Amino acid sequence: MMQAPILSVSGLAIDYELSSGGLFRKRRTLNAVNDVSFDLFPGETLGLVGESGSGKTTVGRAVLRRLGVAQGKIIFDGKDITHLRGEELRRLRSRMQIVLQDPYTSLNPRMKVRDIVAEPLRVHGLAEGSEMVVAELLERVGLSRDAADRYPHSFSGGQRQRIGIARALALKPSLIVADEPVSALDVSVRAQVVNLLQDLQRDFGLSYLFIAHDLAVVRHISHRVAIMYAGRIVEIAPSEEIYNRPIHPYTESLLSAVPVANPKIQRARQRIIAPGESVDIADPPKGCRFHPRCALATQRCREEEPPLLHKTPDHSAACWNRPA
Amino acid sequence: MNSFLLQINNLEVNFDTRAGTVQALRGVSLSIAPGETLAIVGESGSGKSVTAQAIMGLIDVPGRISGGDILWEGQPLTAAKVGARHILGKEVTMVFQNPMTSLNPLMTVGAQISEVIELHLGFSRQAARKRAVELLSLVGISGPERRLNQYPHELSGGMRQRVMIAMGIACEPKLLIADEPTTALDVTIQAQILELLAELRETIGLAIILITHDLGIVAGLCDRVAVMYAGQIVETGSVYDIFESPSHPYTQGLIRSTPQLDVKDERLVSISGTPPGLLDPPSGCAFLPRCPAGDGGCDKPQSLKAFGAGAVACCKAGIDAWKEAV
Ligand SMILES: Nc1ncnc2c1ncn2[C@@H]1O[C@H](COP(=O)(O)OP(=O)(O)OP(=O)(O)O)[C@@H](O)[C@H]1O
Ligand SMILES: Nc1ncnc2c1ncn2[C@@H]1O[C@H](COP(=O)(O)OP(=O)(O)OP(=O)(O)O)[C@@H](O)[C@H]1O
Ligand code: SF4
Ligand SMILES: [Mg+2]
Ligand SMILES: [Mg+2]
Repeated sequence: MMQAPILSVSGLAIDYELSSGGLFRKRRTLNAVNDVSFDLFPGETLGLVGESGSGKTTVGRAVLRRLGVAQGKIIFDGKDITHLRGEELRRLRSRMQIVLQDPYTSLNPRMKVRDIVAEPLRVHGLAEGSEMVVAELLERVGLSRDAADRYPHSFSGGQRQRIGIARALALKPSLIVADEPVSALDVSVRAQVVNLLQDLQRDFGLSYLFIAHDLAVVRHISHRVAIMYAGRIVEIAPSEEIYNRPIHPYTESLLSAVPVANPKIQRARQRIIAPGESVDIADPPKGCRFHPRCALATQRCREEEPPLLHKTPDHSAACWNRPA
Repeated sequence: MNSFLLQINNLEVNFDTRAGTVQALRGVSLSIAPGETLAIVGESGSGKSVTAQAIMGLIDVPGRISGGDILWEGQPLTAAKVGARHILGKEVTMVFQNPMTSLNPLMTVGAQISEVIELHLGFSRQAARKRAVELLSLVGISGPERRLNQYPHELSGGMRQRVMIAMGIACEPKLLIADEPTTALDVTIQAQILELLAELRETIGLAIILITHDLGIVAGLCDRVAVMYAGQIVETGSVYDIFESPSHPYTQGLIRSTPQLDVKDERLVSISGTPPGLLDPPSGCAFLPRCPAGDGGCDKPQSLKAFGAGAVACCKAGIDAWKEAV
């Protein structure tokens, strides 16, 4: 792709303030994400998968400027937005939207669907004529127009997710961060929502940062995939590359741990489960953060952190013992 | 003679809403034996969580149990009864679908886990804390001592889910009801949690009701499967039969829709259409409008009948419904 990226993140680091118990109530900060860099192109989907607690949601929220940035740069549509404030930030927000996992708590139960979908329009002073826009949006996401007059509780999980998507589309954003948007849905509804997201991308040229744990869905929807482990991106490549030629040992163990929907095969399978617990990012291991769980770990892995390097022109990974 | 831990007969649950009465459960029957693992799968909104809430005595206004009964070791289990207090929360525990709404946002994680242990096992504060640390490392949470002092919003989604699991197994219950316990976890941690559950099944004879959308987990862990659609169970059977020869057209559609890791199609397969509203559900088969095999004969009420080694609620049970579909 030769166009300019719609989103370009470089060297991103995010810290959280920790509440500390114990005798000495000194403030501690937790470095949740470090040195995260990636580009996202117009009309592209970047899948973001990885360990639970590795910082995916944190990256998504930082991109939307809902978190302070400790280090690094976020460029959106050619403009440095890392430290935007006030009116400018508000205007920026109309161009980036979020779709969340939980279709049950992310919609205000006391608002009618019409008002939920129209809310971003109203906030941005575009209430005029919103009636028509809402009706079109509802139709676009596969809900009937009379849905507008109902409250969220009368919809199923999949339908609520569609309402959330309609709301996210209201301001015609260029970027949608979807944080586990289909995790709570049954497989059939999940397929409907994924197909819908793909249709919308084709029609509006949307870019998605798609966070999920379901590797089959990620493979299906993503053009490229980034794998996170303990606050770092450890591998990034076109989707087919990642799935067919994974480089990082963590990516391998992820792919081999995906359960297969066939009792005989699943029970007979040998999995490369990385043993041990997940990393405590408040007290991360020295060297490669994956080394305590890694079968290939050598002395160097225990001492030096491997950088994310191009192993082939479009496939990068951070591992000492996997040249290419 | 009764060898079941839990038995549910013809359970009906309604929610009274402004728009009318939502018939969330329309005659659900199921049972589970000690040490058995039962999966409940099915459409979003089909009543899986409501079934679990009913067992736990958690149906609250505007909801009500309007029919049927729930037996625990042969005795009626009603939340109001004194004995139920002892059973629910100790012998039967539940891991909720949404950790953020079921953890107390104002209490540290440590206080919440310890509270359960103190209450049900009579541990001292200090012993309970020690046990809490053990439990957190059992579910693969690193730095457990530090985590005890954190509040739920300071944890990632997957960590919150594991805190819920730790609380669920804290008292070594006889039955654990787990509602989507691993949706927020990456697959390597998920595999560890499932192994932990399988181990508890061996060591303490834990029975598990696992509610999930992930058919891969069902295939790996469960003995039996109940498939729900629109407030009813439409098929039950052994895990092998359900996957190898699903007999209800909805079950067949569900299995067909499961995306596979090693296949990349242009479009994911889904079941087109939506389930009926539960305000005014049809008296005939609720799947009829979406069913490729349906015809006029499906208009009459369908009840769960023995079919093969399992049971199916479909007058065309066993037909290959999706044969012609693309
Ligand atoms: N508000 C907060 N205060 C302190 N720490 C936080 C806060 N939010 C997140 N964290 C920590 O930051 C790390 C990254 O969390 P994040 O939610 O980004 O992970 P994630 O990759 O989205 O995980 P999951 O897959 O479980 O959702 C975790 O260790 C988490 O405990
Ligand atoms: N408090 C309530 N008021 C009105 N209707 C409700 C209420 N709680 C649940 N329902 C309805 O009961 C039905 C069953 O809901 P339930 O939560 O059991 O679905 P589920 O099978 O767990 O779905 P999912 O897979 O999406 O979690 C749904 O149609 C839902 O709208
Ligand atoms: S750098 Fe070493 S420890 Fe890290 S993944 Fe590669 S081989 Fe394993
Ligand atoms: Mg997250
Ligand atoms: Mg549910």
